Amino acid sequence: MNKHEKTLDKLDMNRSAVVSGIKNDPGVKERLESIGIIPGCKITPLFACPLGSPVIYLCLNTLIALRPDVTSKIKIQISK
Amino acid sequence: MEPIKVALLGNPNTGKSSLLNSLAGLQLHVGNWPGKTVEKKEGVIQYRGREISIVDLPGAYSIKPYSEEERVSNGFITSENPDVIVQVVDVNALQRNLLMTYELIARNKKVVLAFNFNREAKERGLKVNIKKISSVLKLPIVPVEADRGENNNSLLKEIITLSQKKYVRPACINRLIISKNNIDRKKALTFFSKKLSPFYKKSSVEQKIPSIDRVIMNKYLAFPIFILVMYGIFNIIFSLSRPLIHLIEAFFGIISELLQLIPMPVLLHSFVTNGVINGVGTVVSFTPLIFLLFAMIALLEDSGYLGRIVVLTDRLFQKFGITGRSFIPMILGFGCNVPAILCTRIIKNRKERLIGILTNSFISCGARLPVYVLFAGIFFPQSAALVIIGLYLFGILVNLTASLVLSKLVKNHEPDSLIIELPPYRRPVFTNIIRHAWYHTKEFLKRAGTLIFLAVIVVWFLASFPLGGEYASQTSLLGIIGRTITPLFSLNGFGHWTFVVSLIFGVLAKEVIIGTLGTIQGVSAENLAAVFPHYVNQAGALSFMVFVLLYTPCVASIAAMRKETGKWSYAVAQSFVTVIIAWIASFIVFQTVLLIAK
Repeated sequence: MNKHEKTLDKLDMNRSAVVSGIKNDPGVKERLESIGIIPGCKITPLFACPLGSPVIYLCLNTLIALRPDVTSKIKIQISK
Repeated sequence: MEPIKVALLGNPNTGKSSLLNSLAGLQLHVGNWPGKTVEKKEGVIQYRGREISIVDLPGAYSIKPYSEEERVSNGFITSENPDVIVQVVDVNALQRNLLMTYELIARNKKVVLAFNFNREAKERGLKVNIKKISSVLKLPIVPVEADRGENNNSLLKEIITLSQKKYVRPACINRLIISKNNIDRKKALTFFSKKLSPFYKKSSVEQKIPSIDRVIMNKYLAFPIFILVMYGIFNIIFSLSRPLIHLIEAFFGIISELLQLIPMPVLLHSFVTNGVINGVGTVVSFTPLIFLLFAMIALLEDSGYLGRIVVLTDRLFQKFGITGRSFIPMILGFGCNVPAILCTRIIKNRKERLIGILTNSFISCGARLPVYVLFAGIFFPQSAALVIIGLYLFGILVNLTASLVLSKLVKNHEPDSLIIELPPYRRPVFTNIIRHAWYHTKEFLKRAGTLIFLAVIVVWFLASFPLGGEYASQTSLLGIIGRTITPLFSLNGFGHWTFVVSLIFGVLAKEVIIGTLGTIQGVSAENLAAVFPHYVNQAGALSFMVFVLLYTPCVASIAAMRKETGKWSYAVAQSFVTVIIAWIASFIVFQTVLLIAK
């Protein structure tokens, strides 16, 4: 298994990854974790809005919309 | 016996309001939390001889005090110490919903879980063994269908039983707790997958893009559909309310005429018709508009489309320091700023909501249109439409600029960025929508009504005294004030006292501006065309329209700003700052047009 670490904004549509951490920004981290984006959980980008942002993600069986300024703070691991 | 104090809590979109409506129904009292702009609903119900008082805490994902909503919940749980907390749980997103449950247990609270949307879960192929989950968590769980009021009695029974029991913290959750205010969310995920997931089985097909979203959020269809929906809503609100408003106005007109038949002193008669009836009439005529607005907003929100609108328009607003949540209040402002300001409550971020409230009056409402139509018709007959469209666009520009400036100035303790859940599409419940609209209409009439009424009385007084002169004439107090401040507008091209007095009246309601001009000029509104060119030129007319677009909003809007910000200071400051902005803008317009004309 080869693990690749990058940030969520770089993940291709419909590819799943596991959240590995959230970069230091206590307000954003708290908000993300309370809505269910927690290290260890699986996340999948489903589609982007017509203007390109935000992107809709599937996580813990809910749809969550995030802008790139937030997703660039979410670290993920993809297993190949 | 003391009533049992129950707090109702839950994530957004879990059907909490439906449950509350079906439990407490018409006994609900809706208001705001003291000193906060967050809505407070409470009700008392009788069940088996016990009194149960239910307080609805704002929908949130956590009780850690980050956002204003969470601060309210946190404060209530800490200081009021409810006997039992009912957490409404969307069984389709159980894993995430339980995070809040663990937080409550960390605070040593007695919790009953109301599992909602069980039918929907079943249709999705989700198998939930509630008995097993309840025995693992050591918490009472009642399956409900909130929008049909199913199993409410079992829930109430459980509340009473739990309130009489001694509190025992479920041991299995102990290891998820770091401190009173913190839980280990990562461990919570592991706990779920190890201990609970055997009783929470998803069918083999994983949820993908909901099929409706394939159309509604489609690259090419999303915006056309969205424009159609917005057009439909705008149309329903304003075209359905118009005949009702006319009916109300006609009703008050008849009353005024009937009063003429009753012999009474002239001053008393003027007070009753120009003051009281006008005041009550203004307030009551807002009722259909506010009711329909809240009904439409509830429909959008409950169906799940509101969240989609927010994300669709988000990109457009990002550059101005705000999010897609600000879009709907902005659009509604074109109809009337009052409901638009009330509807800023869909903006959850405190800072962004404040910006939305304070900048909404720059969006040109329907009541300002007659002024443009009249002035543009007289002074720019060839290009009236262009001038009017220009004014609307200019209003949007000022609104966005002001948003950008305020977004830099206002302090914020919550993340600025958009982090929002797209709720599943659900069929809205008709009675919930009607109740929701009715609570808010009542609340608006109660709060803002008094202020609007008072303002009308004050203006009546200023227009009537000193006695002997004609209503709103040059010799009245209002006329004197108007003439005193008129020189301030000489550089703006409309330095005649009649214009200034009409602007003062315009603060009552923008519809009044033209009527006032007619009254003090002593001609009917149609004949103003012959009179105006004696007082202003083209440049002055344009400058006057710009001033009308931007200056102090009407008293109803000011009352709405006061109500929604919770502070007089914001409403008053906005009213003054907008006059300054309007003065500067109209000054620039007047001087520029003069320069170009040379």
